[in-house]
Amino acid sequence: MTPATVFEWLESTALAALIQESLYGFPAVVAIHILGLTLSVGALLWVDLRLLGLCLRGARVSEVYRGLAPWFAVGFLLMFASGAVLFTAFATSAYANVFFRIKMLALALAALNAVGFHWLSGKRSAAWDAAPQPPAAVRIAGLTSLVLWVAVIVAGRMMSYTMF
Amino acid sequence: MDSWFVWLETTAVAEATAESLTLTASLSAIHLLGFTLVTGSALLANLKRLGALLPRCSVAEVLRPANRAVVVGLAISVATGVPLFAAHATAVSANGTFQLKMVLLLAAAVCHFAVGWNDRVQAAVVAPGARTGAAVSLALWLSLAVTACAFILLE
Repeated sequence: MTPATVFEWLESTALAALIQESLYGFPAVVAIHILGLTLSVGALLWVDLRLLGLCLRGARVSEVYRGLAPWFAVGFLLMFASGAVLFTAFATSAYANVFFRIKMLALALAALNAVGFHWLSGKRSAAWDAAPQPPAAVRIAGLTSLVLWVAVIVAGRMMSYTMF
Repeated sequence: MDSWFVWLETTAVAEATAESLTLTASLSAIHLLGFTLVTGSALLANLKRLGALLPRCSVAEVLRPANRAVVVGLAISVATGVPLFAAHATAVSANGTFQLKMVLLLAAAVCHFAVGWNDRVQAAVVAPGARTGAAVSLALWLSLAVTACAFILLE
């Protein structure tokens, strides 16, 4: 089974047909995708800015993270679910699009950065949790996250203009 | 009004945007980055006003950077939104979802900064009335995100 046959099968599903053929299916799912994106990345942005020590310096990093986590978790859920539905409908052309590939790469790197950061900082975070300016390695992780999410958004927009 | 929109479409910036897919896509990408900044910052500001976030920080400590970021994000979105609008002013202005988006934008901004004025008056604590304002403001910003791109697709 090649990727091409999987994509063709995906595009033949009832879910894909709903997006491709109904008048409101596509705009409704795109609207959810944008809402999810602005919620998740918009909230995560403030965790990254705190990691960089640029603002909210009087709050603990863990407080900023915990306070915003429910919001970016819901945002990510909406964004990934709607993104998967959109991919189902246009799998072949999306896979062939260079900006889609850049977006997926940046997304994977952002996930790797987040998981790596949690894994490496783990128990040691107590040492800098309350520090107005966290250590360099932590600031680098915050900056990396910001840069990668900007790349995801830009590539996502470029993709929608070059795919159809 | 219609003749004004027709004139807008003939301006150099409108013609350049309408003719270049790269320029349109780039403006649209920056537009979305600006709006992501607006939504995230409005979320932070209004959650703090609702008392749902960062209990150890003062209201001012959270709202100062958050509201500054809302203004910067709005400036980016408007600066990139204007040429995108100008390129197809007649068609876009006639679109119902676009009209709803503009009403929501105005309502969200007015509500957000009207509550913000109250914050300065109250200094350290948020008044109960301001909480309702914060909830309404947050709901308006999130509704705006939903209509933000839907208008492009609904003709």
